[in-house]
Amino acid sequence: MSRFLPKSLLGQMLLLMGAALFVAQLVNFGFILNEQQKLSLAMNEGPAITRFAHTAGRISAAPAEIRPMLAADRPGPGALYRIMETNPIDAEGLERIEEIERRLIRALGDAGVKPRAVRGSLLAARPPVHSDGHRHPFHRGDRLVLLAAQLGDGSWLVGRFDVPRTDPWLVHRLLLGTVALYVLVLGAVLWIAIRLARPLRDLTVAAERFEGRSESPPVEPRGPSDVRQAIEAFNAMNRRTLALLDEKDRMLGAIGHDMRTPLASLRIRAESMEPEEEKARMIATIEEMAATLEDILVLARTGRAREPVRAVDLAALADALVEEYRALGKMATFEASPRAVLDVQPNLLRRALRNLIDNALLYAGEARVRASGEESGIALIVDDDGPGIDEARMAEALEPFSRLEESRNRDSGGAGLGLAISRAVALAHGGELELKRRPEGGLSARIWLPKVDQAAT
Amino acid sequence: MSEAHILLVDDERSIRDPLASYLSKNGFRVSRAADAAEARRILAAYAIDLVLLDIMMPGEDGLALCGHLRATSGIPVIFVTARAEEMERILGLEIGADDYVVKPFSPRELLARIKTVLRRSGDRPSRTPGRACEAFAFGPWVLRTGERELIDAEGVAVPLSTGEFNLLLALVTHPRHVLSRDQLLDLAHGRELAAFERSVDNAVSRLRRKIEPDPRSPTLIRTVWGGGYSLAADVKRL
Repeated sequence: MSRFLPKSLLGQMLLLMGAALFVAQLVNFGFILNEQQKLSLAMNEGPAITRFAHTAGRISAAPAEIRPMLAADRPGPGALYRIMETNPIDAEGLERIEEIERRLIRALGDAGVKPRAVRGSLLAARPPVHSDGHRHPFHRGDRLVLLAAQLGDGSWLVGRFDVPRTDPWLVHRLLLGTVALYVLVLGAVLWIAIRLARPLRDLTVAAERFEGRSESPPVEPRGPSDVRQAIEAFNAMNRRTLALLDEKDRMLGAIGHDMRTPLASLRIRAESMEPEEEKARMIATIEEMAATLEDILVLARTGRAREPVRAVDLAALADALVEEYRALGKMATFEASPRAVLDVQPNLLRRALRNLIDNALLYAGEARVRASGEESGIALIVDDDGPGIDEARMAEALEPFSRLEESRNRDSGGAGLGLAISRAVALAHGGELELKRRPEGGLSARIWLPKVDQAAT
Repeated sequence: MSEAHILLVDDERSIRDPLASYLSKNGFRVSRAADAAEARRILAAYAIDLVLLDIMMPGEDGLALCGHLRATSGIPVIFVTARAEEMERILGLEIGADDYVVKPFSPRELLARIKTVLRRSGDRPSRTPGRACEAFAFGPWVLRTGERELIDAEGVAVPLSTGEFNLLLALVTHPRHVLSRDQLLDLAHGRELAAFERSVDNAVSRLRRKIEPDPRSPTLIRTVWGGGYSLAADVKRL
């Protein structure tokens, strides 16, 4: 059920206001109809009561024998009088209307008649039907007032009057008023909601696009003042975040410099060490430290890399990279792929792909690379026939410093940053890194880079 | 060139001293400078064959000193720096350095690079500045040596492997010359140490796949029967 309800600010405001208006209108209708009824008594039934009282005065003054004749004589337009043994209102069980009866007693009093009892009722458009199927003889019009007064001798003078229908256009006018109200109120709500929703959408877009680079322009503050304040606070937060990121970069740069220099010093001194095998081990350790340092710096800086974005043929990039491995005698192959051009940071991407190839070479001794250009983007894929990774641990494999062999045996790999860097590079390009078990066994690592329509963004 | 004189400029004593002794041990005469001012004094006093230059130094930095060297002399420069980003590398080469090593480096690799640069500067005494960062236009292509990339007519970068790059550089620096396989191997080797053991023919066919409109009937890299290969296009330095 709840999924049919609107999720957006605009939709929710419109729905809520619409529902509130509907309830308010229902209550309003009730009041208006009640009020209308009272007004109608005074306006429509009032004259009938006066006429009835007048006639009752004349008739009650006359002898009982001529009363029926008097009652039938010239009743006036839309009126009918009868002298009856019983009153039809009680006989038919019609609804008695107190307000009418009260007015009737007052009017009869004014005319000098003291009735033993009075009855007053209104008949609606559709008359009640007798059990024998005949309609009540008094009922002919659409809307009738039945008035009855019991005279001194116990007989009833009964009068029936056609009365004008109460305001036949009332419902139409009320409906029209309701529609006008809806248009006005919902229009105002719509306007306010749009005024709120637009800057909020700007804010959302800006937050989604925030890449931690200084170029991202501030969001233009607009809308009501509280929204403006939120936008200004967001812009200020962006500036603080950028300042923090800049500081991080400066710090990393300093760390990089300060660590590389002593490592370089060690590396040079190691060259003159004896014996030879001790020297080789020391050099290996230093180079590993340098590589790990490099990886950490790269990982920490991806997404803020200063390398400019350029149009590059990724098939040629992968091909050239594989060729370097082949030149070093590694078992890497590139499956000839058609040109696949995309705007990328080529050095970062080269690094990401190199990490995947290194992994394949490490665990499978062989790497098969291909580039596949598709409508929506380009995939760089590295397949191997190695042991692969358990499906359950694939997410873990992408985390920085995660190494799936528990031993953390350094001989079998670096610091566990390779895949994390590859993924960070893919993310920085708006893409992703996917690991998959190949059905034939082995792992398939895929860097997916979507084609971003630069003009649209 | 039995005893080339190298000037080592680095503010870090922990690099300067062991590196100087390593280079001395390997047959070079080494002068040390802790900053640019000291380096200028030494440059004025001695005939220096090559400068090893740190980029980040207090006072005048390595890039500025390199610019000065380029403006006043043809002494080759190799940057030795702790800044590893690719942009820095290209910036250094654009300023006119001949090569670039990043700390921590293998001293043996540095030695090999020094020898390569010295040999090259010996080959061409009147070197033009910015030798290591140039652009050559031929046919619809531009070869940029700083980024080691080919740029096509649409501005798309087509990355090259070291081998392909070296071979193409040899060809574009000798346009319309017939280069034998041995000559090509020589020229390509002189440029970079990275492996180029694979046959020249193989590298040529890979290059053709990348740059020829139709690799089966090549129009840019021609095979000269019995001779070798030649670049059949005019080359313009940009």
